[in-house]
Amino acid sequence: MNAKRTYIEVMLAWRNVWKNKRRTVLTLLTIMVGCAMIIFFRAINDGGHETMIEDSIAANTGHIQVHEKGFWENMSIDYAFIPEGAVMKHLRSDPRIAASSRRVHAAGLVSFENNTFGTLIQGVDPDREKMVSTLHKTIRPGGRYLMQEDGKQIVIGETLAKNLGVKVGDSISMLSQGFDGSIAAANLTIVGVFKTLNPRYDQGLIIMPLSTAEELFTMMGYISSIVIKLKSTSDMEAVRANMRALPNTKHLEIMGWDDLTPELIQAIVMDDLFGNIFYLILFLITAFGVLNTVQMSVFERTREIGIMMAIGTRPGQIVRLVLFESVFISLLGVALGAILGSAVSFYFTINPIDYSNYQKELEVFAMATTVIPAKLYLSNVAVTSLLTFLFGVLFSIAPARRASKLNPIKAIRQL
Amino acid sequence: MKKSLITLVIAAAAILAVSVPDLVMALTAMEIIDRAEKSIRGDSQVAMIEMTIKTRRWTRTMKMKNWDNRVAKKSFAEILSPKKDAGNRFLMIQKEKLMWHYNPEIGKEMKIHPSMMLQSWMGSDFTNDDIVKESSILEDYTHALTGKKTVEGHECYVITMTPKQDAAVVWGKILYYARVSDCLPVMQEFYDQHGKLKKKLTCGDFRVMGGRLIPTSMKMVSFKKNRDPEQAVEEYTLMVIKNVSFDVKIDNSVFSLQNLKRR
Repeated sequence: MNAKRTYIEVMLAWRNVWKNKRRTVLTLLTIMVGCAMIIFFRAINDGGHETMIEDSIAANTGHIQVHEKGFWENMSIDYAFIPEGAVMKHLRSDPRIAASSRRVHAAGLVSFENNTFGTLIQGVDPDREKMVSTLHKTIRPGGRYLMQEDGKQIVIGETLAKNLGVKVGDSISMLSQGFDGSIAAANLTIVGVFKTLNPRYDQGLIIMPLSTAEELFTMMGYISSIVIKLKSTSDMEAVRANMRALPNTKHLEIMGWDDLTPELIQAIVMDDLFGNIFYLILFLITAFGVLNTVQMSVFERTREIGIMMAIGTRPGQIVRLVLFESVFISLLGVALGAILGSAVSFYFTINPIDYSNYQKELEVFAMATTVIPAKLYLSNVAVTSLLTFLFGVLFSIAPARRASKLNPIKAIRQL
Repeated sequence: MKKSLITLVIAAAAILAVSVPDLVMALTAMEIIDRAEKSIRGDSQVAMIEMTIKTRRWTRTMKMKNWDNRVAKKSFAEILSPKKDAGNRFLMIQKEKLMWHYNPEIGKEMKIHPSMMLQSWMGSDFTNDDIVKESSILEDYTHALTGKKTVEGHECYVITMTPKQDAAVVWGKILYYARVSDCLPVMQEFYDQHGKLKKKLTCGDFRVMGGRLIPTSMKMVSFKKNRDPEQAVEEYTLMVIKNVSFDVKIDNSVFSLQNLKRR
């Protein structure tokens, strides 16, 4: 019997939905546009974040770095390891790893004429480095990146070059400390100047060939880090977990881009926070739209509801009736909204938005890419649809209860 | 009325009585350190020093000669061995907060920037700042005698040094332990702003050298962070004075860029 009663309620609700088409379409539109807008803004935001991550790790950081434990905190040449064993095997065998490159890191002084500055010195294998980072693409015109046969040649950050007052072809002196504690000193020739979007690199990094660094800093087979580039950024956590589980890695720290660039994560978290406030406002606007139309529809039908109650419809049934109406409209609206939102997002995935007019602003976020595609995740569509639906139905409860509390006699006399 | 005036006078006297010894003690603390610094460094000194650096991976010994004019606050050092580092020279002029490093390999001297002062000097546990500003513990800190303690078998004054408001120093607090008998330093503990012990300098091998009783060895231990306990081995820098002459006249040309750069 219960099933039959429910069936009647559902049927009544369904017919009510289409009794006043204009009102229904208006409600539908509110839900659809709200849902689509949230999906679209989320997609744009996610796409921006993804680009931000890709850009900032592409230059020099890589997806994963391996150091001896303590290196990242102390940044000293003293922390080094011999590249051997399970980690090295893993680098060759894991298909998710696109490339890896060894580096030697040291801190030192560089000087030209009367100017002296403290810098980080990075020794890299030029050919392998090109496979893990994009810094070689940022060399300013008139210079070049390091080549395999280079010796005491270096590339240097643009700001540092400016501060030192040097240009391509000049020779600068470097003074530092070797791995064995001895003094490491050399005169080095600048062959290129790079300008990344990370001011830290530009004002305090010089890069020399790995072979030179190994000799200069008396590394004796030790290296400071291995930089790993993955085929896909989303694999980072899994690969990192796999590598941490390898044997004989207790003396190593295996860090992902999120550990290496915490400021990036902070920026994204901040951005998400503001985003979520914005979405909440959109949700509320949509919900109040629904509240408004449901309230109106109930108000319009005061007489009708009065008669229904007079012939024996119970208040609970009235509540269910109104709620079923709102469920139908919300479901339909959310379905249409999800389709519309996904379609618009997809359009902007294929035809990315070109922000090149705002390049300067983007550089603040260390973003080199100015053409940013939207990125649509299934979770975005699912969560947004569910929330819109819930908000819609939730905000119909109040008018539904109000309808059920009508006094039949007064209601019939109305209008 | 009169009674309250008397009370006031007594109270004032009491406050004075409490605070005057404090004043005297503060002076004493300053004097202790002044005496300590004077007796181990003299007005000037020329010394042969052997510095041994022990890290978890290697031990290195360097020999160097050091010229120090404490009054003019200038010093000069040259590394004599090992061969790889020989000929590296350092000129330090404290008044100008300057440190020059000449390296024969690049045939050039380099100014050690003030921002580099916290970096390790020659891979040791001493920082550039330790080397250059050593005597500023007299000027940049306030000194308070905070008790007595037996350290390494010596009865010592404990002097707590806190940086003066405008002093550009790195330590939050230094505890200076000097022997009660002759004010010679036995130990210094360096704490950071958060009160964490970062470094400890221990002086030992007290003997007569160059006509004075001095500690002839100084051992600096840094408490590094984030080191795997399994890898933790004793790491330190040991400075041993091989011979020294005090209060000799050092020609001012020693402390010059010409001397630094001579071939």
